[in-house]
Amino acid sequence: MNTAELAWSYVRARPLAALLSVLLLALGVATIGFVVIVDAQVADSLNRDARGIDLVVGAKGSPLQLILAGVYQLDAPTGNISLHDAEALSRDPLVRRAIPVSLGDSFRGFRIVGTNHDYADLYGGKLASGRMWSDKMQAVLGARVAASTGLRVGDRFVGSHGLVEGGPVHGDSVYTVVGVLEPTGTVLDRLVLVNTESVWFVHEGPLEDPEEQKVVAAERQVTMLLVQYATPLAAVSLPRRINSETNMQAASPASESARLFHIIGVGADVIRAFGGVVLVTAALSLFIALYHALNERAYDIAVLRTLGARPATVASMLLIEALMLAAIGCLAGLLLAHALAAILAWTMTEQQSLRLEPWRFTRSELWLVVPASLAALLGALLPSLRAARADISATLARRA
Amino acid sequence: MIRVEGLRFAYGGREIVAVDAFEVEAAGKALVVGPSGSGKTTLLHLMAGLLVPSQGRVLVAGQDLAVLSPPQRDRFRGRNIGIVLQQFHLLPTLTALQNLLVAQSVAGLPVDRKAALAALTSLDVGDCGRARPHELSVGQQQRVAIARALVNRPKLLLADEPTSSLDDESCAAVRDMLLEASAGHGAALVIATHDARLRGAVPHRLTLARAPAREAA
Repeated sequence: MNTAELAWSYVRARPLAALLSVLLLALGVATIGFVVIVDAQVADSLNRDARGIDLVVGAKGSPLQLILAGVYQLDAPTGNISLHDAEALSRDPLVRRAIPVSLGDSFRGFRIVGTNHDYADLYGGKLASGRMWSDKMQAVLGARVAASTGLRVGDRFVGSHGLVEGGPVHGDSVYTVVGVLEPTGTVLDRLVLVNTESVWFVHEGPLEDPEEQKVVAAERQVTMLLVQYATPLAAVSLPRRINSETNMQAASPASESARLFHIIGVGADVIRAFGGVVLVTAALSLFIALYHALNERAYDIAVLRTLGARPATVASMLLIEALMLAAIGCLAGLLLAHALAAILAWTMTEQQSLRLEPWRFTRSELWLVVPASLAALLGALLPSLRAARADISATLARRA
Repeated sequence: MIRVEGLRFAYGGREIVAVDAFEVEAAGKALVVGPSGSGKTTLLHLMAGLLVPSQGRVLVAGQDLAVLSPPQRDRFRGRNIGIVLQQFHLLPTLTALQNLLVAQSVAGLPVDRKAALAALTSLDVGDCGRARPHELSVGQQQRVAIARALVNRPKLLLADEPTSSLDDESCAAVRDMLLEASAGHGAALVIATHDARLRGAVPHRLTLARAPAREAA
């Protein structure tokens, strides 16, 4: 029968009051925890998708838009760049690898990306079945595309114009699925990969006249290039050169996603602050509950003191009681936070956006024990001091 | 076992208790009698170390309570002084047995279930250990409270108006219980009471006058 067991007996004796405090603590922890989880998961997801891409080169416009469109496949692209310029840049000695990306069409809301085999390699994409494409109009599906559409190797489909579902169908250009990729947890999972020629072919149509072919070929475009630097020094000169000397735009995924995070961060801070307010409310509720309980328990505390309990023991009983509620609230709050993240992850999957792993627990969440415990201790501080200082003789005499 | 010397206790400028000399030997027993407001409870709290005298000394087992630091005094009380209150108040969130175990624990003594059960058994409530206070009859609660006061084998048992709210039959039962249990545990017994029914049982008594109205020196 130690102080903790004694404290627990009082928690159990008034479950409703305890529940209210636990609930408020849990809500506070859940609010902050949700931000922590989603923040980390979104950052992870964005970093996974931007891995290995030093620079994105596309048409002039918003650099953030270029990154969102080219790396994360979330936004519409800024426009196209000429194949000639793209090829010239690919040959630049500062460029180790330049992967072309051509956007424009989609299949049931999944983007069709015209590129080369390097794109799948970038994300460590491995074939689950079939093979990579060897000619135009052959498609390799990301894992989620295959799972969602039910298409398998050998199946045929037609893309629709535009990046969202419901655009006009390119009825005469039929793709054949030649491969399906294993899940990678990256943007690759929700893309249909084809070669760049397929995208040209779908939009140009079959050209018979050699003159016409020549004219069209000269005007060919890609949407953007994903560039890997040959040397870290390239970061100093290459983006500046592209931005000032060409009619293309270079944007760095690292700095643009940092900027994006800065923008989102304001919202996250607001939510976090709200969670803090809820925790303060929890502290207040705990304070009221314990203060009220103190009046009920004044005689109990006096009896404990006659039995030899020291003021510190009586005070620690109340503090431990508050910490127990904090522990339960913290646990419930974290579970709630993950449940909320799971709902968000589900809706994001439905919208073919970033992939989150809502049930992955991280060590940083454990830090939430600190504000929860602080709130509990804050609420319990005055009641425990009052319990420690209570005039035992007077309390006993009052009842006698 | 308890000796009071030149004891004065004043509160708010008024002298509430004045006892020049009072002593109860080991395993002895005594009554503190007097009308309401004569300072019986205050004297008992002074004897228990819940209050510190303005003047004079309270010695329990030779130890002057006033020289102990407050935490030392709490611990000394837990280990050497058992207290029975008028309400026989048991901690309502604990079982009868746990009420005894908590007495061991807060006194800084090892928790000894066997000793606690033995104390309950010695007061005929050995089978009530798992019951919570509200599940017990008033008589059983009284027995558990006395067992709790005795579980740490105190040298001194103090009882504050233990019978004042009881009918004759219960009064006699509690009186006998206190006398037998303290004798059985070898504890000195001091009962503060204005209950005339107890007078016959204990010849040694200290009579306090009605509210001494003199100003504190």
